[in-house]
Amino acid sequence: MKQYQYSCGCGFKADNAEDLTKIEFNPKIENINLDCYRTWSLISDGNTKGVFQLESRLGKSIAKKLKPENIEQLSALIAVLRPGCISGDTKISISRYTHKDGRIRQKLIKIRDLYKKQNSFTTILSYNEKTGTIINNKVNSVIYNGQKECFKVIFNTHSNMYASNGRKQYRLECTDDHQLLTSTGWKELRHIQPGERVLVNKRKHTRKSKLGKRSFRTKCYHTYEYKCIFCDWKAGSLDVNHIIENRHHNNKPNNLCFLCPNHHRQFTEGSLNIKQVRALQKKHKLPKTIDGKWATIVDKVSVGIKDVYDISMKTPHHNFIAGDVIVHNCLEAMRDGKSVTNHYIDKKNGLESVDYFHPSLEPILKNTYGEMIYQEQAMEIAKRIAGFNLQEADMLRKAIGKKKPEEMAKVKQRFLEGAKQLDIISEQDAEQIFGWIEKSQRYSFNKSHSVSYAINAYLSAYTKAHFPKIFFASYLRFAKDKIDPQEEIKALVQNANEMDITIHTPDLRNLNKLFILKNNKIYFGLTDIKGVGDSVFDKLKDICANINLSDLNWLQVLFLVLDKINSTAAKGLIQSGSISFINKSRNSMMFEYGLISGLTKKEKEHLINGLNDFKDLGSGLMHILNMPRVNKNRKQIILDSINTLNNPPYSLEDSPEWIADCEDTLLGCSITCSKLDMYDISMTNITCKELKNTVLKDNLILGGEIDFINITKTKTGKNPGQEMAFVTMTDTTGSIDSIIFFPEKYKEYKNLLFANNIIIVKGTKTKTGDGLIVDKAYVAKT
Amino acid sequence: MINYNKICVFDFETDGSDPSFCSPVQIAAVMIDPIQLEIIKDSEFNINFKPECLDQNENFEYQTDILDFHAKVKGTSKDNVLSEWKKYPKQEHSWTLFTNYLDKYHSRSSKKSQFSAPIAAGYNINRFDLHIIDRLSKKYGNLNKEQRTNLFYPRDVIDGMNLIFYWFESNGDLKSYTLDSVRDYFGISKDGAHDAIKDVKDTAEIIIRFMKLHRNLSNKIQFKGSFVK
Repeated sequence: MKQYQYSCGCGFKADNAEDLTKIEFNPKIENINLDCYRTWSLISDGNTKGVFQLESRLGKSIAKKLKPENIEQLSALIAVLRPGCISGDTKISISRYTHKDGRIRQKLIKIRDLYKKQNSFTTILSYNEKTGTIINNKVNSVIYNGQKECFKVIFNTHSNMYASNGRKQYRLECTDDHQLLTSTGWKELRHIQPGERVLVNKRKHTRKSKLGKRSFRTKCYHTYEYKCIFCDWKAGSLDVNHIIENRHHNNKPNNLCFLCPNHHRQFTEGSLNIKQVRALQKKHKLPKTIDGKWATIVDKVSVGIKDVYDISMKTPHHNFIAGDVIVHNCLEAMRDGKSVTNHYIDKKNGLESVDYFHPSLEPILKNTYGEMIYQEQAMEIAKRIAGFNLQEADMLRKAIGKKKPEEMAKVKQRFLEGAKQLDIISEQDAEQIFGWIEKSQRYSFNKSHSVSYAINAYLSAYTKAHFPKIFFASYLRFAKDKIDPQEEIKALVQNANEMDITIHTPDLRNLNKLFILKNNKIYFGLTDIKGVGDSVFDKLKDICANINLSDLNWLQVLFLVLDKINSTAAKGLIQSGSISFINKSRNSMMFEYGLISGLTKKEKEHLINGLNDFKDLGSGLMHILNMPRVNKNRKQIILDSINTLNNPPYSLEDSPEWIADCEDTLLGCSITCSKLDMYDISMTNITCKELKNTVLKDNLILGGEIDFINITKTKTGKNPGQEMAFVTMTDTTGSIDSIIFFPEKYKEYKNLLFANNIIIVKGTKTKTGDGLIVDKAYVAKT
Repeated sequence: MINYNKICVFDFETDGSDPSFCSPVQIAAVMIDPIQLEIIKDSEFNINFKPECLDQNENFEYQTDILDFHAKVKGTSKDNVLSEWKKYPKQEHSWTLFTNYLDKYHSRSSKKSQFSAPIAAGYNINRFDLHIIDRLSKKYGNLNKEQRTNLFYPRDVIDGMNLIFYWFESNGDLKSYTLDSVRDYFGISKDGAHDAIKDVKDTAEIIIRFMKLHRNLSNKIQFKGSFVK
């Protein structure tokens, strides 16, 4: 092995500099250069597809804005980026409507679809915590947060919380840091224990209300916490106590409370008085709600790693309804009309002055430019200003996190007393700092967690920057585990193209099941073709065990390989280009494969026996005519096939559009050809890849296929509220997601803007340099 | 609603005028790109069929008017027409090739189904050609759940004759709704008329022109809320 040196100073031992498939690379943090400019510039360019924690659209854009230069900044970036999330299949309540049966129902949509159709839904349903009603609230944005471990939470709205009555159960899949509205306030899922009460949406449509007919036990369950008011015992079945009179005279909620059997006996015997019960009954009353219902958490189980999304809602109602459960929206804390993330980015980039509030806080907040991002910073401040010991500091973190008013009051008092004693800051400042710590708990994150995430992110970015081919080959191998593998493959292939790495269509000669890096080229695996499964692959392996595929001609491949597997797989192999090592158009291969499927077993055997003697299929079929005992009908069929071969009913040339379509359907993206190859885009003067680096600003002409259109309404300008569009365009070199059609141009070219249309746009480069403001648009001609 | 399904303009030449009984002797087709509204390059399809009656009985005697018509179109004698028909490939063989051709032009979709199949288009296909398609689909097992053909998109059919009716029902200048009259009226050459491939190309041109006209008009007319009183 030889030592090879990169321009960034990093060096590795490898067999061959050209073929980096065998390298000596120890992914331990102490062995890695943490100041590698190659890695940092990859992150700063937003080229973070496949980079741990940063592969979402939000991650990419923030990495681009922040331009981190060290692990400290990357850790802070990950810390401010980490909102709790909901799994992609969760249904979100969009709006309410009156069903034909007269009941009010809710329109639902999966959060994944909501993300795809962001512009179609400007408002969704939200819970008004003041009035206890469900209202319409505006959506800021729907965010894709990559993949995270999700938990399935089961809620029950039955007084017997373990009753398995499906109708009364609610289910939600979310990450364990997502906040739910409990009877004691917003809490992260990881801090909620089974048996706690969480607010869910009242399902009005499931059955007619039986108000007044419900049992006193149900009434009590919906009004009070499910625990004994004296001892908080909830381990078994609780008794419902009637405070005055009995079940035959007064079943109103005010007259009910839960008691454990022991206290219930004491109450009936007279050793507990009504005053004591009344006082405690009020404390255990659930917050009032009109459109909600307090459900009990029954169970929480991990359901593995899933694609997760979140929604950012407009103030003041920071929640939405997911899977009929009221959940908190994206935890983006705002200050002075700007999110903490943006404050941090601006301060790091020198666009905002850094203020430490008090000089004594500078050493603690210096690394994060005066922003309180980590929980450890809050603890450190309490230690420095109020003289907290480590245990007390941890108590502070827990108290604020759990939002228990009694504990909060105690900690606050201790904080203020401590601050007074140390006398580093004034009493007023101490109050202000405590308020600041309190607010920061909405978004602040554990630093040890964040740093370990940052190191993993750096490691993946480091691999991508130094061994991109190995990175893409391995990442593509695992694309199958994603919910939408084809979408993932498409994004990765596009990203690889942008990094000048070509991904090749599958090749039957390689006989590789999954993506493979061979001879410094990345090839699709055979099972990555739609319709080619594991069983077909095993069969192909058996067939090809004793054959050297490189030496075979078309007829041999046709009869010895393709004819032995099912037709869907055979067609998939031909159309995906797996047999393109044979110099023949894919269309004519398909045509001839179609013709031989009409032959009998005996005729095929006859052809296989003389395969080496035939020049082409036509001569082989002619030979069949000379077989003994061929009846007139069969002869006619063979003759028809020969005539069709000589005079095919349609062109057997491969058109780029057909190849692109086939590859798109079978592999998830077009590799060999692009639909663009059919169109005349010779007048363009720039490509998607060049646009990012060009010094030219005006009269830029770009051609490409429309991938995605994001229609939004203007917020500023002369006439706010007008429609404008952000178009994502793709060409053979990559894609650009900020082709901007301002309202006037959008109106003019609205009819050209739909997915898969090939257009040519002329315009000016945006200030940020990664987009184009459209001046004119045309339809490309073939 | 943007249409991504390709439009297949096709036409049968048959050995009779009753779609319930006649046998096709030729089918031709071309594909229209639904986005660009242009005939897709190299998308022509043309194949002959041996009529069923000749396949069953080589000496079957046709009515003279049918052979006269075909002889006139081809510019040859009746005997030549008959001997040509006898040489044509069997119906099953040609039908399979036609279905393979349609299969090639499904729209890009995650799953191939009838909903990704091309839209059937042609001239007077509602009354004639689609009946034959349904009949042959039944014979060769290309049916969907509703016992209709599964080769084409199930919802839409574009019939050039209907388009002409919508635009000319109050115009006395057009003599009749036949393709020949329409050709005369629009000034399309009639050379090679009634050969399936020529008919198909002319029909495709007419459909493309009208679809482009509709696109232009629909961009100029304010449809939204136009019925609000």
